[in-house]
Amino acid sequence: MKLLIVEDESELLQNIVTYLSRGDIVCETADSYEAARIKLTGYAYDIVVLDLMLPDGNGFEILKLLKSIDPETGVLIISAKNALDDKVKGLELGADDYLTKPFHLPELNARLKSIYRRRKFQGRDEIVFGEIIIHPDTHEVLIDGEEIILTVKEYELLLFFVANKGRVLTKQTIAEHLWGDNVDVLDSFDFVYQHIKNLRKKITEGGSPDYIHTIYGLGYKFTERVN
Amino acid sequence: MRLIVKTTLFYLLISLIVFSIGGVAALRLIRLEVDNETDYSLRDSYLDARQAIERGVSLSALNTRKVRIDSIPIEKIRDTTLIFSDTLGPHPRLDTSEPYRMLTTKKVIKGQGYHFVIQDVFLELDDSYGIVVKIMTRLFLLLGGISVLVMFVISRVIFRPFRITLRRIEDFNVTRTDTMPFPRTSTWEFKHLNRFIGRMMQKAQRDYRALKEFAENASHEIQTPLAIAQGKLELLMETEGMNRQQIEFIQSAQASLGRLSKTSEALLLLTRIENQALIPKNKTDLSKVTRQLLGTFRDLAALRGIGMTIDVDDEVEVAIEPALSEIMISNLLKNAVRHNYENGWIRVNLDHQGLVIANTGAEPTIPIDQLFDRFQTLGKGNHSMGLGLAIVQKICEIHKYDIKYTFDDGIHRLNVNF
Repeated sequence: MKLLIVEDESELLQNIVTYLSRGDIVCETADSYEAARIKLTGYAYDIVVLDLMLPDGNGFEILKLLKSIDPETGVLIISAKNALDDKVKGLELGADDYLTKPFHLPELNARLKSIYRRRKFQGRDEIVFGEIIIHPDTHEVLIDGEEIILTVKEYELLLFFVANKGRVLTKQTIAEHLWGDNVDVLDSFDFVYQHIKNLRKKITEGGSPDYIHTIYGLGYKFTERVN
Repeated sequence: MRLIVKTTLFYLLISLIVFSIGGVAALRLIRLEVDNETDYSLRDSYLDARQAIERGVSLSALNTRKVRIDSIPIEKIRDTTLIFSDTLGPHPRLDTSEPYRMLTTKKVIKGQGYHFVIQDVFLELDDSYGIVVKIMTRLFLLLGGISVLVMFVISRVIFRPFRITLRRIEDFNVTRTDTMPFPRTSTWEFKHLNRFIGRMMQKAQRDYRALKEFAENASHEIQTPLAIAQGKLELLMETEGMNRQQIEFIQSAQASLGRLSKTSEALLLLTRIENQALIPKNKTDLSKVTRQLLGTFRDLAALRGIGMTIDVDDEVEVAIEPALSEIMISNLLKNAVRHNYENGWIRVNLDHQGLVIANTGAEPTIPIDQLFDRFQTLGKGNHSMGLGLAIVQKICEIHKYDIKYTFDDGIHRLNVNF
């Protein structure tokens, strides 16, 4: 997956690039409207991660430009929260998704993969991890060709794990991904454990190794490599 | 009471006193003049009678109703001065008595002594009193009428700029960026007043704007470093060989950053709501918004075993920004989940009158009237910043909704009336 990240805050840009580059994502960066314009006219990207607030221009202009050059490119807007109308406007202009700052890097990663799948395969591909095959279009999960039945949350959890394979996911990141930002009304994220337990049980019962590794006190990691 | 009415009334009161004093003085003067004139005419009559006696006219011919002359022995005459006095005499036609002025004197004319009694009715005090009162009353009424008329004209014409200035002050809204111009006036005091108030208004609005901009900018500038720090912590988590203590440090740093970020977000939202204090013309379908939110909150509530019963009427349409309605309802639902028991319940009721959210929960630990204040939280173990209800209240205030909270028999009930 080839990415252009348009973000004027160099440290934030650095974070995103460092995080995403560990996977199979190629990141290019632009720290201004002008730099983004030059790169977009010269090269093609799968997805553009776009900060709306740029020192020398408005991110919406880049979005319009991009859609006129290559409408097939996916766009994920990242912007400060509270810009109540920005989300609506961004999606109207053809952005695929919208993420407000501050966000969890695994969340960004999962969303980018989701956009990529939708754009590239119209969701009709399959995600393979060892014995596990996921069909995002039908929400089917197969282990060694046998379908296992997951609840909606378990399915989303598995998808989130696979998108962030080999990465540490905290309970909070998982909780916010599955239940949204309002999850902070709950005093603890211990309920995540219950869902992990159920998913783990269904996967192992289906005949797959236990890929979900608990990192004590921190969260979970979905990986083939056994520590 | 209006200034002009007050001054006019005061003026009329003073006039009344002046007129009363004037009336008394006039009465006295009239009385004095009448006395003088009467005495003068009595003296004339006496001199006429005296001349007539000198000419030899008989006494019987001189005696009338008003003049009586008797001849008296000459040795009885000691004092020959003219004595004036007041007396009462019979009315010529009516059967009453009336005041008379009387001149009595004794004189020797051609060796014969005479006793003169000459009297004349003079203008009654009652009559003069009546006349003076009548004149004064009429003058006073005339003055009163003119004063009211003048007051009317002054208030209409001269005080017009002042009234407009007052209206501008009443309409003044520190959150607006425009100022209504003051009317041109040639009155020195009004000119100064307008200039002063205009300057004050502009300054107030400028300061308010600066404050708001500061709040917005500060909050915005906080989000970026927070996002950077959170990203760094996430990257740090990915590094190999972290021990448990290090991981715990990272977790707690992340939690604190999260709280800080939510707090500044909420504060920014509060300022934004205040700044864009506009009620849109378009209506939002609250039924739809509520149903959507209930979908996500039902999941969250279920995690604590909290059951939700929902009674939402169709097409409850209200003039409110969709995003704001979402914030309002989700903040209320958050509270209903947060301040609840495990396995409690939440009831949501939406109809055209309003929204009622009732839920089980412990008694609030802060007084109910402080519940809507900023940074009021229930309990220490709570993750809430205490800005949720303040935001809801601000939204209600702008849209003129009534918001009421009651706690009764273990049930929290929040009522928003549209």
